[in-house]
Parts: sequence; structure tokens; C-alpha cells
Amino acid sequence: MNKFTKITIIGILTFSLSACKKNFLDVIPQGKQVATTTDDYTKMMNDKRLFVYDFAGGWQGQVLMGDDVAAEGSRYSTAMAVSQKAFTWADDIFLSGDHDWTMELWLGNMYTINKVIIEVMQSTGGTDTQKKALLGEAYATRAWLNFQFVNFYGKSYQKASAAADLAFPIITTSDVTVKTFTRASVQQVYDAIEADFKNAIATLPVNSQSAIHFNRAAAKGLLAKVYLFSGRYTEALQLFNEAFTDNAASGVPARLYDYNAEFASGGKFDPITTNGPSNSPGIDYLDVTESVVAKSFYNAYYNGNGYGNDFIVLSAKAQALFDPADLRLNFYAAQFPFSEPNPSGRLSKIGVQYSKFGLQLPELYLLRAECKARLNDLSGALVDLATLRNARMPASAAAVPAASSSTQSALLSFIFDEREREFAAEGYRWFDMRREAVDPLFAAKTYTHTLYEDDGTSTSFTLKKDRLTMRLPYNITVSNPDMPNNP
Amino acid sequence: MYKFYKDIITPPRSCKTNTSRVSGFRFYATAALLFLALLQVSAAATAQTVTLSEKNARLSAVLEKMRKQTGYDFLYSTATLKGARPVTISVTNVSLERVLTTIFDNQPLQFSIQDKSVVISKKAAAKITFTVLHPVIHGIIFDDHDQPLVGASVKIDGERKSTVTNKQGMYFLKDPPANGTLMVSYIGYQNDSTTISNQEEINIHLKLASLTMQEVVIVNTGYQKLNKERATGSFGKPDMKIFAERAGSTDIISRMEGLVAGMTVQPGSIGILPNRYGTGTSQQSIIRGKSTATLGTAPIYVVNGVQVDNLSTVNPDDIADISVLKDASASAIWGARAANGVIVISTKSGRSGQKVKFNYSGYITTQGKPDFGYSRYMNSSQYIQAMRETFNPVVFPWNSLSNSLIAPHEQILYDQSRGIISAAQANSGLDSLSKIDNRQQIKDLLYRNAFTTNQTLSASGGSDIYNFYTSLSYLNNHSNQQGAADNTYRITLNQTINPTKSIRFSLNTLISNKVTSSGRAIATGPQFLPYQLFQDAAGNNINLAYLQGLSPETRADYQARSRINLDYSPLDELNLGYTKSNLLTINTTGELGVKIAKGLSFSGTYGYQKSPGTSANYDDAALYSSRRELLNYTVARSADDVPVYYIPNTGGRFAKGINDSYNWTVRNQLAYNTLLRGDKDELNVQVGQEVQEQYNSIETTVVRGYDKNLKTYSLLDYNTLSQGVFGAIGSFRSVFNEQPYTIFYDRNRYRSYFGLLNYSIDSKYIIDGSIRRDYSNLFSSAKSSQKKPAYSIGGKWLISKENFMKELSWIDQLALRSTYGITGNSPNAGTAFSVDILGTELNNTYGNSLFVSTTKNDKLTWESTHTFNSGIDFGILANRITGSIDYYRKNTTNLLGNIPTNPLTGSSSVFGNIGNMTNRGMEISLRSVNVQTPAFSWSTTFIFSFNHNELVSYSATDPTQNTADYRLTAQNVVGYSSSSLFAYRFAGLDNLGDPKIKLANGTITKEPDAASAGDLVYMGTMQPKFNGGFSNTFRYKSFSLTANMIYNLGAVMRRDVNTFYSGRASTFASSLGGNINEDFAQRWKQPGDEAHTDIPSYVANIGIDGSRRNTDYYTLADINVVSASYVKLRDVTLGYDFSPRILRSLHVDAARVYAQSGNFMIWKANKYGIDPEYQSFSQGMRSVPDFTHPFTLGLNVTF
Repeated sequence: MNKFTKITIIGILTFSLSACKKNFLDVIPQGKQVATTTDDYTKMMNDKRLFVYDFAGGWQGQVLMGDDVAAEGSRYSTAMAVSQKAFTWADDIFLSGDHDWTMELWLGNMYTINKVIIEVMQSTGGTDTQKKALLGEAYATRAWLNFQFVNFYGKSYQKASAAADLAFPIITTSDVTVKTFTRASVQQVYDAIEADFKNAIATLPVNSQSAIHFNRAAAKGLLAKVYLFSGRYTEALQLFNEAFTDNAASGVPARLYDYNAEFASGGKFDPITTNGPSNSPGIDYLDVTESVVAKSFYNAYYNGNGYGNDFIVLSAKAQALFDPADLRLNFYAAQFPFSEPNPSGRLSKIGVQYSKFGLQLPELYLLRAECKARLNDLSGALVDLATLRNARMPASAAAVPAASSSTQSALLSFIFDEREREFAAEGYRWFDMRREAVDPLFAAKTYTHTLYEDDGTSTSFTLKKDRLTMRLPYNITVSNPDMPNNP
Repeated sequence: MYKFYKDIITPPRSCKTNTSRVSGFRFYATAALLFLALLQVSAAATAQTVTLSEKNARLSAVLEKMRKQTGYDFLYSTATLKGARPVTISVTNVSLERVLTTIFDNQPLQFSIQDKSVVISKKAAAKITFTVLHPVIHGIIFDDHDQPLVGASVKIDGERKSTVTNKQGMYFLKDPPANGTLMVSYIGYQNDSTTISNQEEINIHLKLASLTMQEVVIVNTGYQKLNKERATGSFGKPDMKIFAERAGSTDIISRMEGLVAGMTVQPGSIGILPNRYGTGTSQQSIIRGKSTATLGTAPIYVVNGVQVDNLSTVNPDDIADISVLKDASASAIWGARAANGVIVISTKSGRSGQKVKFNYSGYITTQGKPDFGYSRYMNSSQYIQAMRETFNPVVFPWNSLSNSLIAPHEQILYDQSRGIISAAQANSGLDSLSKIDNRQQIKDLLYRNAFTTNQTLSASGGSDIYNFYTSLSYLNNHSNQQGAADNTYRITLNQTINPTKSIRFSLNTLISNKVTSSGRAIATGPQFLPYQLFQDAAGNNINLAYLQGLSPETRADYQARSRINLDYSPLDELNLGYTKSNLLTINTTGELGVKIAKGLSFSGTYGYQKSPGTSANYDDAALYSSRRELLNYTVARSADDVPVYYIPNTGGRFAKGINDSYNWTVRNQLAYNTLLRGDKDELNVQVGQEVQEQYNSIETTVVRGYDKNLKTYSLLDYNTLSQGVFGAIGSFRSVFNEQPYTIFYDRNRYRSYFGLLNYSIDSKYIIDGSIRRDYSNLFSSAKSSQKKPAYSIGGKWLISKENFMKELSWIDQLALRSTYGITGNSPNAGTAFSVDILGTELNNTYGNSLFVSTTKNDKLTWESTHTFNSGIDFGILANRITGSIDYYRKNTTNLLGNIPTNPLTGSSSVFGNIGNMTNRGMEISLRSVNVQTPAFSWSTTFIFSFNHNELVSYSATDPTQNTADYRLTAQNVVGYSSSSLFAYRFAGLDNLGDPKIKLANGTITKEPDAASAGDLVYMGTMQPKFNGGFSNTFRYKSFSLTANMIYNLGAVMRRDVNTFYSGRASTFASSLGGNINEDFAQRWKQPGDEAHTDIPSYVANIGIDGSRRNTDYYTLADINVVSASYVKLRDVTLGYDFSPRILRSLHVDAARVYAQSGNFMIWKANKYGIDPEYQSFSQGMRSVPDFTHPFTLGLNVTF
């Protein structure tokens, strides 16, 4: 073999290597991508994690903490320690080995939302309107999250002390390397919520792709709720009215189910089986008929990572609030999960796996009614109440009793009771308890929980005032040793 | 194999001062004008008698025949045989020595036999007296029998003067320096030298070198083959004889256990883990301690110069040589993936000029059934007693259990408590349960006797231009699982072509086909309810429907409405489904060597591996799990309704998986070799480029209602099913999320540049270095972090070649070496990114979506390991004792791992560079020939490794790391070993039987969460600090006995204690568990018991158990941490080599049979009967050994 042949062979081989393209190494693993286009951000805002907490999280703990529930001993004894602690209003619900799924999931949401807020306007391929709609949705979501945080870990809003009361850190970064966070005051958080909702209202469209996304009505309705919670009733009413208008103007407006029709033969919820009404709105997170903005959490028996509500029954007080003709009672039975009869006869919620806690149209009516009542427009409040009650029970039972509609405080009490009837065992009551406790229009109350044993005895637990504000969970305190916890 | 003898040089590092071209593919040979008929010692037995019938044959041909018959090596130079006379001889079964005497009688040659070598030299002529006229130095060089040696080379050190002895064995050198050194060498003899000191006549007696002639061990880095004597790096080589006969395992890594200093094999089933590429499992090994926090710790594997994912395709019988690269100098050439070490495997090849030879090797190893006696569960009467004691109908009221599993013993207890049966009836029912023992049925019905057999038939041979090695093999892994099959068929073909003297091309091909299948066997053992039989007395399978957790009433209701039978008998399920897989692997490596010009050569390595495979899974509708699933998609409100099935109720679920992987490597390198400084020094330089790609993919298709015969299936409405079926039986809402088609793929690419340099001075001082730069797609856009090169530098001093060492004749070899370098350990693709990585998931309700799957960390860089190694190699007492001692220190910086983050950031951890770790240690390898006589020999090998591992720093200190919980499971705690084990300081039980602990400040408490990290005690490391092997081989005539011991010392583990303290034990019966640790009987039962037991009380209420106390205070306490040190006789082999006389009549060259057993515990440090090989150290759980002692019978025949 001569030299020429050898050189040719080597030449070819060397060429075969250099033939590899420069972008040889630029391959991104399958199923992984980097957000660059507006469409990527649209898909991020379509993530299920932002609108359904279908395994754990949401208000699962708040359900157990409301005074609208009591516990059935035979089930309580087998429940997880965290569930028992939430029910007994223990100081610290979470120990080192426990997961606070609620906060874990929401803080994960916060990372995504902040990323969208920071980056979406620089994304490529979308129109300015599209980007702004995403930005608005992200602002609204952040405000909604902060509203949860401030009501978990901050004291009930009181104008006088809000600037001093510690709430929760305001997180505006999406950076896991940040080490230090500081608790903001209740007032600061409310201000941040207001600012975010206002930004959202400025850019959100009237129509959203579906009810799992914020539209303008949802942002306005929720900001109004925030105003109501912080005593700014006039501004609140203005926004409530706008929210109703915007909802009506949207493509698929949220509407109330008329239980009178749905439970009638051939109605959507007919027939009532051992599992509860067929197709109740709480059967899954897909029925968004009544949602202005739909967010759902798993609110059923213990499934591994949540609290489980297996042992929960309606408290005697809550059960007494219902008129026997109230069709909402169809969602209750003396039954444990898996259609197991409860010999005690106490009622549990049935046919509901998911509870909605974004902004439901029934709540919007009740909030506006409350707002009107607080502004002394009692008749206006009654109109909103009537709209809801007429959709929930036969007209014969729907009228508000005269004793309850005559004075502002009686009507407010009635509205809070109506909230309990509409949302019993769904966590709403916890937020109302916090408001009642600091509201001079309500008589001072002692909140108790009853644990019923099979042998007829019962144990009662009383809520300490401090525990209207939750203590920061274990994993947060341990990572932030300098952060003061609530008493 | 691959043994070469001294002065046979392998490229590219030649080593002697003289060069000459030799035929064959070696570029340079330097054997001082000598061509060695270099002949391999056959691994097979050797005959010592000769049968010849020759007429006027060439002496060299006759010698070759004798070599083949006897296995002796013949050492001579081509020049020696010049002038040899033709040979005529006819002998039958005459001893070698007699034949040689006959042949050499009339030759101008003489011979001497030493050990297994025959050295041939010229006969000296009759002695002549010379008168010396000039000032010359002269003398006679004698052999060990005082015969003059002709042609011995004599020179004066440092000068060009040299000569060879004449026919009388005399030499003359003019004008010798008064104080020079005279150096004498002769092939087959030890070199000798002496100072001249004005002497005029110096006679020297040379000693035969055969005994002291050390085999030249060749180490292979995958990039180059080196004479180990000249390698500066730290290389380990297992004893291939032991390796070849370790039939107890078919796994290559397992077979190396205790044979390589510094390599720790994690033995037993707990050491079998998924490999780093996600393509199957392998036995894990760690080389020189863990040098990573979270990445793979296994070394990389190289077969025939090319990196491969796993070694399972290679037949151990085909392996010629294994080199373990331990330090940076050895492994840095593998760059960014070499920090864990490299295992380089070469398969066998043929040899030029070799007649075709066949070899059969086969064995069968029987393992029997699992060793259930090892576990510590309760027997039936203990269990029933414990269950009586813990029965609690108040905490677990009957009404609350309609959807729970009620075991037969509980049924009786509840019946009694509900007044359905009397106490007497209950007692008699429980008593009869306590007399039933299901262990025999489990052993007989659920398991079968396991065995493994491997058969290999190989052939090899070759001519000057072509040689080959080929083999066929069959491996049958008959596991103890009923209905399973696992067969592997392999073909190997290695060939080398030398078309011209300057071109060599070799092609190595391995083809492996692994075919496995299994049924739906159930696996359980003593963990199951001990009284529950599977078959009744008549041999009928028992219906165990209760195990599935439906009460009889519920079951009846469901069955009536759904019309689906809900009986369950585990034994009926075996043949109702199957999993079959078929994996073909083709691995080819081409190597091209071209000599371009003097000293300059090109070599290319081209590897391609492809593994297409399929898997099929079938689950019949008759399986209980299928029936239960169907139930969840069946709507029937009453027994009168016709049930509506939303998924098919016939056929089965069939899933077909198609996987594919390929891996290619293209490597081109140029090598330049030259002699410098008057041929005293030698320089070797290599540069090259390499490109590599790895790709894996798997596609799965699932169909429902599959008819095995018709191959038809049903069409499903996935969209509707995914929204959920409402009101189905046994389910409120059933959501069907099955994906009919999925695909996943993974692609890694690398591009690398590298260079190597060796420089040797005077054959005594060697310096080498390497550098490599790797680029990959692993970090995606952050290429700037990839610019770090891997490099090494090393030096070696061959002390025994210094003149001043000549005096110390008992030292045969002595060398010092030292190296330093940097290697890396890269993560898998997609593990870490400098930007947020989004994942996607199927969300067919509201459209496609993305979520942040990996949060960004823009400060990522390669994990790199800086290794310093220093070692000494020695051979003393005529090389009867040889060995090496190494010290190393490895600093790993920028460890990659999960940094705990502040949960307020939205993430609990992020992948980043977390800190630094050090490993330091010492290794000793010793081999000694204790007794060496023709009839009996005894040799010993001792392997010792010490490793100390410590996490030095952790860049992100997070408060969560100070929690007790974190530290109890943490592997990374600053200042401790990377496998550290912490425990609570146990302080007894209180008067409720709740465990207490002592905190660091002396407080004794039982409060849950009272402890922080500082309150725990460090118990030690879970990695053995000392490990190694101790092998002894005895040979008596044709018998040989080899005993290999392994030891692992200095680690700690948790012991298996009772963990059942609350709730209902029977809950676990649904997964064929439910039994509890026998310690439970000794628990705290009443106040006062705390004086004599440490085992906490049972508290039925889970909530109370969880809030009143923490039973981990006992289970994870210091009192339950024990030493994991042990010594085992891993295997003992008795072999017999058949006598050549018998074999010759069968035309067989050699035959050997052997029998082997193993797994004998010699010593263990714990008193609880724990075999650490079956213990999870951190969890403290026992697993059931698959066997007690395997037994092997093997046969090896060459013909």
C-alpha cells in the first residue's frame, strides 16, 4: 500500500468527523422545553395546578376548622393526626414529617405566576393584547393567592391594627435561590392585592377562554370581596355591580342552577342515588356552570395526601339552619364515604368530591347582599338574597323571614347563615368566623367543635382567639428561623 | 491471557534502546535483535510428556510441537537456532527432559528447564586459553550450570562499548574505564552488572530468569495498552482464573468482588440497582469511595475500547482481560465521566500462526428456593396471640370497616365482640388458626428450584494475515419464580486482518439475544398471614376474596349488580397474563491501525451498538385486577338493570413496547513515537478527537379487549372515559387516564478532544500526561460551564533499575509512582438547567398545558474530582512476593445535588452545585507463592482497601438540614461521611410504653419533634471502610482448591426491629403482607414493663399514636444500630485436571472439571443473625435471600 492510499484513507476518516455539524450538541431532551413564545405562556396559564387541587391542598384544613362541622368518633379515631389537629384547633398542625400540601402547591403556583408576570411581555409570537391578557390573569391569580395567605396567617383585617399586624411575605420573584423573606403587614398585603387586581382589571378581557381563567368580572368580583373584607363598602358595591354587568356580558356567563328544576324529574341532578344526586356540581372540577372563576379542591374522604373529611358531619347548629324544604339538603345524608350509613343520623355532605373556592356566582350574590346591608340598603340586599334562594328551594320557603330582614344586624346574621347553608363543610365558614370575631355588628361568640362518640358521649373543643390566625407551618418556620411566628 | 514476557513491547510505548522491525502488527519491537518465539501459556492443563515422530524436521518446528504438547514456554533467539541441524526422532509419551536431551545431543545447542520454561542457548566450544595482549577487560559468562553462555551481551554502562560473548562464552572489551559498570544480559537470564574497579578479568554467573521473570502485565485504558511496569497510573486487575470460574454469578461485576483493591462491589440483591442510563439494572460497584452526592456512583464500562451502557451482553467466558482504572492518570482520558473510575474489558482474540483450537466451557449452578427461615416474622400461634391482644373494636368499630379488609382472625374476634358467636366458639376458631402453618405451601406452590447454566463453545486460530476468535453461548437463568424463563444467546466474532505490514484492521462483534417471559406469579413469604393456606386438603385453590377488602355483603351486592365474579385465588392467576421481552444487542467495534511514516501512525476506533427490543404485556380479563377495574367502569343501579360496561369485559389488556437504543463512537487519533538523546529516551505523543452519541427510546401501545387468537381489540372512547364515569359500582367517579400510545426518548451527545504524552528517560524515569476536553448537550445552553478540561500528570521511578539496587539481590522490582489529575462526573440529560424547564402533561379537558418541571439554577458547573495518587510496586524474594501499595486522595468539588431551598420560593429543592467532598484511602495488593514444588503449590492473594469519605463543605446551608428528620435520612451532612447514619439517643420507655430520647442538652423527652439534628448521634458510615479479599489456591498434582474470602468492615446498619405500633396489622394483607416482627411479643404491655423492655407499646388509635409520641425514637434509635462488618467465604472451588494420557486417546488437549459452592458466613460483628448482604442499612429491613448456598458443577475442555 502506498502512501497516497494511506493518506486518502485518513483524509476520509478525518473528514467524516469534521462533517458533524456545529449544532451537533444543540438537542433539548424530549418532553422538556423552555418558555419563549406567548403560546408557551398561554399553556403555562392553562396548567391544571393553577385551577384544581385535585389530590390535596386548597381549603381542606379550613373545612375541618369551620364551626359548621362536628366529628364522628368512630371515624375520627382512625384519621390522620393533622386532621385531628386541624379539627381541635391545635396550635401547630404540622410536625416535621408532615406535608402542608396547601402551602406547597400555592407557593409553587406563585413561582409560575411571578415567572409569567416577569417574562410574558418579552415573549415572542403573540399580540400585545394576548400578552396583556396573560399578564392580567397572572396578576389576578397572584392577588387571589395573597388573599388566601393573608387570611391564613394574618389577623382579621382591622383598620386600626392592619399596618402593624404581621401577615405573610409578599413574593414577587421566581428564583429558588432567594434565602430571606420578610413577613409583610396585613395592610401591605391588602395593598399589594389591590394593586395586582387593579392591574389585572386594566388588561383582562371580558371573555376568558373558559371559567378556569380569570376574566374581568372575576377580577372585579374578587377585588370587591377584598374591599368588603377591609371595610371599603362603597368601593366594593361599585365593583360588585360592575362584576355582575361584566359577567352578563361575557360569552358564557356564570349562571345559577335552579335546584327546583334540576331536582325535578328529568333534571340534571335527578335521580338521587345512594351516592347522592346524579351529577352534582361538586362531582368534579369540570362543572363550572356557577363559577365566575373556577378553582376547585379535593374535599372528600382521605386519599393519602390530604386531610380527608371522612369523620366530618354537619354541626347541630349548621343542621338547624336548614329549612326542611331547602333543596340543598339533597346534598346531605346520614352517610359516610362509600355510602356507609351513619347510625347516628347526623348529616354529611354526599355527592361532592370537589369544592369550588375561586369565585362562585352564589357567593357573588351573597357578598353583594352583605355589602348592601352594610351600607344599609336592606331592600337591595333582599333582592340579591331572593335571587339565590329562589334557585335553591321552592318559592314557598324562599322568602326571608320578617324578623331577619327588619334590622341591619339581623339581616347581616341572616346573610352569614345563608352563606353557611350555601357552602356548609366547604371551608367558607372559617373566613366568616374570622370576620365575625372582629365585627362589632356581630355579638361576641365562642366557637366550639363537638366530637361525638358512638356510646353517646361527646367532647367539646373551644377555639382560642389566637387560633383564628393560623401559625406558620413547620417547613416554613424551620427554613426561616428569623421569621416571627404567630402567638 | 494477554501475558507477554519481559522485553516484548507493546505499542505505543516502546521502552528499550534498540529498535528493529518485526513482522506482525507490532510497530516496533525492541527485543535486542532477538525475535522471541513468544508463546502463550495455555490456561488449560499441560502435559509434561511428549510424543514425536519426526524425520529431518526443522528444530524450530519440533520445538513448537513440544510447546503445544507440554504448555512449556521455549525461550530462544532466532540467531541461536541458526545452524541447528534437522531433527529425526520418534518417541511416545517420553518425558520432556529426555526428549530434549536426545534432540540436543547432536545440536550445537544446550537447554535448561526451569519451572515451565525451556531456555535454549548455544553450546560453548571447548575452553581455550587466550593470552591477553592489550589492556582489555575480559571474562566468561556462565549459565547457572557453570556452562559458558554464547552470545550474551556485555556492555559498559554509559558508554557505547558493547560486545557479545564468543563460542567459548568469552568477551573482550577494550579500554575499560577504571570505575565503570559492566552490564551483562542474556535472554532468559537475569541481567547482572558489577563494578570494574580496575579488574581485568570478570567472570559472571547469570541466574536463570524464569522464576523471577515477571509476566509483563498489560493494562488497557481503552485508548492505549501499556506495559504495567511503565504505567504511572493506578490500575487494578482481577485474577482472571478466579474470575472465570466464579460460576455463582453470571454478572461480570459480581465476579470481580474482592479481587481488585479499591473496588467495592455491593453484593447481593440490595446491590442490584438501575444503571445510570436507565437501560436495565446492574450490580453496583464503587471505586475508591463515593465521590458524588446524587449522581451515579458506578464506574463507566468500556468494552473493546468503546463505552457501553451495561455489561450484560458480554459473556464472561469471552473476556480476555479486565483493567480497572482508578486514579486520574489512568482514567482522565475518559474525561467528564471518569470520576467514578473506568472498567475496561477486552474480549479474546486469535493469534497469528495458531492452529484452530476449540474450547468448551460450561457449568450449572443450583440455588434452590428462597431462604425463608432467615426472616423474623411471627408464626401462627404467636401471631394469633398478638392479634388477640391488640384487637380493639372501639377504635376500629365494625361499622367503619365495610370497605376494609377483615382477616379471618379478625372476623372471629368481631363476631365474638358483636355477640354473634360465643367466647368458646371464638377461642376454638382462633386456636385452630394458630395451628395452621402456611410456610410449606408457600415454598411448594409459589416457588421452584432455581438454577443457572451457561455453555460456551469457542474456536480460535489464525495465520499471518488473519486471525480470529469466535464463540457461541447459551445462558439459562431459571429463577425461583413459577412460570418465568430467561434465556440469553450470544455470538462473538473477533477478527484481525493484517493485509500489509503497515495496516492492521480488527473487527470485534458481539451479538446477544435475551429472551425472557414470566406469568402472573405472586410473590410472598413469611410476611403474609402465617395461617392462610393457598390450597385446601383436596388440592383445590382456596378463594381468598377477603384479601381484596370487600365485605361479603358488599361483594355479593357488587357481583349481583355487575354480574362480575369477585372471587380471588392467587394461584389461579399464574397463567392469566404474561410479560415477554426480547432484546437483541449488537455491538461492533472496528479498529484500524496505519503506519504512516517512521514513528508516525494513525489509529481509529469505530464503535456501534444497537439494541432493538420488544416487550409484550398481556393481562386477561379474568385476572382479579382486571375484574376489579371493570367493576369501576360498570354502571348498574340494581341487580335487575343490565350492567353497562364502559371498558371491554372480554379479552384482555395488551401492551406492546418497542424500545430501541443505539450508541456510536468515532475516534481518530495520531500517534508519534521517537527515540531521543542517543536512543536513551523515548517520546510518545497522541492526539485525537472523539464524537459520541447515545440514544434510547421506548414506544408503548396499549389496546383493550384484546383477543389473543383473533388479534382483535375494542375501540374505546378515550375522551368520554377521561371525563369520568359517574355512579359506577364501587366508585363514585372513575376516571380512565390510560394513554393508548406513548413515546419517550433520550439523546446524549458528546464531542471531545484529547491528547496523551509519555516520556521515558533511561528506561528508569517515566513522565506522562493527558488532557481531554468534553462538550455535551447535557447542560443545554450553558456551554460556558463546559470549558473545564480533564487532565492528568504522572511520574514513575523504576528504582530497581538503578545500579545501586543491584546489591540488594532480594529485591527484584521496586518502583515509585505518583499522579495528579482532574476527572468529571456528568449528570444525565435534562437533570439540571440554567433556565426553567417546562414539562407537559396530557390535559384533555382544557387543552394542552405546560408547567415548570425543573426550576432554573444558572450557577451550575461540572462536578470535578481532583485525584492525587502515590504508589509503590514491588517484587521480592525472586518475585515470590509481589504487590503494590497505593495511597490516594480525591477532592470532589462542585458536587451536584439537590440544594434544599426556602419553601417560600415555591420549590423545596433545586439541582445545583452543593459542596465538596474528599475521599482518601489506601490499597494493598499482595500475591505470594508460599510453596512451589512440582507436585504441590500454594499461593495466596490478599487485597485490602481502606476508604475514608467526608463531606467537607456544603455551599447551601439551609435550616431544614438542621432538623432531625432530615438528618435521619440525609446522606450529606458536612463533616461526615457521604453515607452517614444518625440515630436518636434512646432513653428508655415511659410508663405508657412511649419511647424517650435524650437530647444534646441532657433533657429526656418523648415529645414528637423535640429533637433537632444536633440531638442525634452519629453512628458511623454505611459504606464499609475496609474491604477486600483473601484468596488461597492449593494445587496438588492434578487437583486444585481455591478458596476466596471477602470482607467488608467498618460500616454500620440499622437492625430490623418491629415497626408495627398502631392501627391494624391486617391492613397489609391485601398486598400479601400482614404479618409482623416477632419482637412485637416482647413489647411494653403494662406499666412496669419499661424496666425490662425497650420495645414501645401498641396504641390502636393512629391519631394518638402520632401526636402523643414518636415510635421512631425507638426504631431509629442508637440501640438499634449495629456493626455491618462481616467476612464471608464467597466461593470455594475444587478442580481436577484430567491426565494428558487419558486425554490424548480422546484427541483432547486439556480437560478440567470443578465443583464450587459459596456464601458461607465466616464471621459477622452483629449478634442478631443479620447477613448485611440482605439488609437495607438505612431502613433496617431484611430481605429474603434467594438461596443459602449455591452449588456449581463445571467443565472446561480444549481440543
